[in-house]
Amino acid sequence: MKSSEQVERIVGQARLKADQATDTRILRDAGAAFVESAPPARRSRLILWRFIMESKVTRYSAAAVVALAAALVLLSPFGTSRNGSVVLADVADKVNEMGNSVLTGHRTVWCQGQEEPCLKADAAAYVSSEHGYMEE
Amino acid sequence: MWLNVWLPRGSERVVLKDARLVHRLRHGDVDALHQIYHRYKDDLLTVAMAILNDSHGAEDCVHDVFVHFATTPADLRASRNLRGYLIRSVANRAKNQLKRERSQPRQRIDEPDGCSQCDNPVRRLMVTEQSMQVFEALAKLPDEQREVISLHLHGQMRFREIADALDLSINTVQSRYRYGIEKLRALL
Repeated sequence: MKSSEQVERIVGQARLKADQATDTRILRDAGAAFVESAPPARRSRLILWRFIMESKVTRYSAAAVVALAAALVLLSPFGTSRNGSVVLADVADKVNEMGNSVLTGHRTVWCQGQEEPCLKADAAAYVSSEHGYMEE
Repeated sequence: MWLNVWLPRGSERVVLKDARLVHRLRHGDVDALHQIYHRYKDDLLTVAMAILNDSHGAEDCVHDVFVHFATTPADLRASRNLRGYLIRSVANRAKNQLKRERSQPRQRIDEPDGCSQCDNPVRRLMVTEQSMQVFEALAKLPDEQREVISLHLHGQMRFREIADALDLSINTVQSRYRYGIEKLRALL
């Protein structure tokens, strides 16, 4: 009886070889299938899709990116800039229409010859294109 | 990254060459398909023959696997380990073919003499007398043992690789291999 090593060697050396006719048949059919298979653009999309789906890391990352993008679009947590220029124009129009404004500030009045100010007060000034200037 | 996944009897150079061939294939180079075929055809045929013990079936099996491979070169598994991918594909298809034949037996066309594969110009596959004896002996083993032995000795797959491919524990794979070799010792 042969040893295990001998048997392994004998079995490993057993071969089935293809001749020219087999090669021709297989390569002809495989070549035809290859030519008829997906076009390059579709193939590259397929490669990207397989790359994403192949690994758990890329799969979950892609899912997270899609979920984040959807959340940003739907919830708009940072506000929307969609009508930003329109809103600003509306405000400017209203200010122009109003034609007046209010200025507020703190007033300190020193009387001549005194070290301490004789008046400390909050002041408001109203400026209007219709009514002129008034301070209180 | 994938270089250390599985390197069959070989080096990174083999895997890199395979990766280049797959890359060329993906970009529409038919010559790469021919090179891949000539590189692995005998190993694939031998694995199919060891499982099926039928040269026509083995040829059909490799034919189907290769045609399928030609239509799906984008499969990432192929670029990671081309040889392992093709060997596994052939083994799986051969097993399915075997199951199909057992459920629906078909008439085999065999020559009247004992060495039907030898020296017959009609036959398109070439096999030596000694190889034929080995295939006959392998055919007497249970399917599971035959598959493991063929994947290891003809497909040059490691036990770990076989265990992963068959979804078995490595101990189970090694047991099947050991029992199979023991039976072959008595048969050869």
